[in-house]
Amino acid sequence: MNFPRTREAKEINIAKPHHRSLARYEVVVGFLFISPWILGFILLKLIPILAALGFSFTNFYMLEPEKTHFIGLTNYINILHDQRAGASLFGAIGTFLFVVPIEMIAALLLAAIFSSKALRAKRFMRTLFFLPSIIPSLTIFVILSGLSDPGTGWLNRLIFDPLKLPAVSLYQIFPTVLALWSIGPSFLILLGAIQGVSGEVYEAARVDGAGPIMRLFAITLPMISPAIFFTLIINMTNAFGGVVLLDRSLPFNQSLSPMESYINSQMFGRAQLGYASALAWVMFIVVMVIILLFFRSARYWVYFPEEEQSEEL
Amino acid sequence: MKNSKQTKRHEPSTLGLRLWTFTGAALLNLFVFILLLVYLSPLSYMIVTSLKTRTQLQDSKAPILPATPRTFEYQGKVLDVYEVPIGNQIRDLALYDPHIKYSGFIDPSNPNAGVIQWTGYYRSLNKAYTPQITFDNYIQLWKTIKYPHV
Repeated sequence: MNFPRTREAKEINIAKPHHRSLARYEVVVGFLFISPWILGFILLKLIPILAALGFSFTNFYMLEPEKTHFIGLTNYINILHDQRAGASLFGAIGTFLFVVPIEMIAALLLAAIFSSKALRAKRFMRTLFFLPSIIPSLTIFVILSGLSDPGTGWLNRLIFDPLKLPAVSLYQIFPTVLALWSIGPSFLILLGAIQGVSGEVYEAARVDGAGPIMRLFAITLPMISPAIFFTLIINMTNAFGGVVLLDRSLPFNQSLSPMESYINSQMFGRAQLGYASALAWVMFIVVMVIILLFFRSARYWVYFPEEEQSEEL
Repeated sequence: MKNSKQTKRHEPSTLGLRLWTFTGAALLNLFVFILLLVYLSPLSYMIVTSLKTRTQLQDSKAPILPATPRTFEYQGKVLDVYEVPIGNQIRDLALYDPHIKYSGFIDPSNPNAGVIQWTGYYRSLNKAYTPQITFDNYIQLWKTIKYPHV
């Protein structure tokens, strides 16, 4: 049965192949745009990561590379017997447990303050609070080493000396200041999330008699939980891998990033690339396990509106 | 009548409410401002330090703000000026004749008065400084960086 072709049908038939070619064109252009990143990722990250996995099964000694041969899981078994490796790994986890909560709480409090309508010059102050986040860790280290200098540093001369308190050292303040000075991105993400919560929800809660604390815990925190989750993951990965180049000359037990420093000492100090690769992979697996645990726990405390809608449908 | 009086008593006045709102806003702004000052204090330290001389950085008794040690030229010699406690006052005097147990000083404001004896070790005294910023560090940085290589 032949139906008369309408003008609309003709237009659709004509548009379909053109639409497909446009979509293909957009895909190609999209890939071209991200190709520098993909190339960089493959050449500078993926291949070295996989190479490290290969090295971790060998006795690669950088001073005698010609004697390298496959030794199976020996490096991994040695890690189990290496007390320093265990101590440095727990040190890294301890740093993470100390730094990340400080970052999260400080960023959340600051975002809550900045969401107030009573605050003036928000844009200017927001920029100033974000400013230290762009300073590299090494520069922060140099600034703080001067600031906490027992002789000329402001911290001891202006606060601790007048109060007759013992001088504070760089290593006592560095992790805290580094954590507080890197809250900029988290602060902006959380501020954006707080500002994205509909005012109608708060209005309805007010009508129902909810006070400020109730509104914070019953509306604000659940509504911004995806942003909290995202910043938590970002801060966690930064806490484990942020200051690797900072403390190359320091013994790992005094270090600011214990596991990374131990890997560094094995690699550059003892030239044991095979063992260092195995250590790096152990750390990678530990970080991945923690991230997976966070993702597992997300279903209990993170509010994903799209998932709820799809379940309802 | 009685009811309206009671209602009036419980209603907060507009002025009181405005004052309360203003106080809250002022306190919040003050808190954030102080927080910002503390938060950026390491940056302030870095900027202030960049304007200091190396001599000042090496002196643990030097003032916090950029300054240069005061000197006084006497009989062709450049003398360092110290803060010397004499009597109940502290005077800025130039060290002329240094010794361990006592030292001779010259008063820069009245050099003709002669040498003033002071008992004590002169190194325990603070040097006198004059506020002065220097851009030497920036000049050195400009000369050090090899721009074609950058």
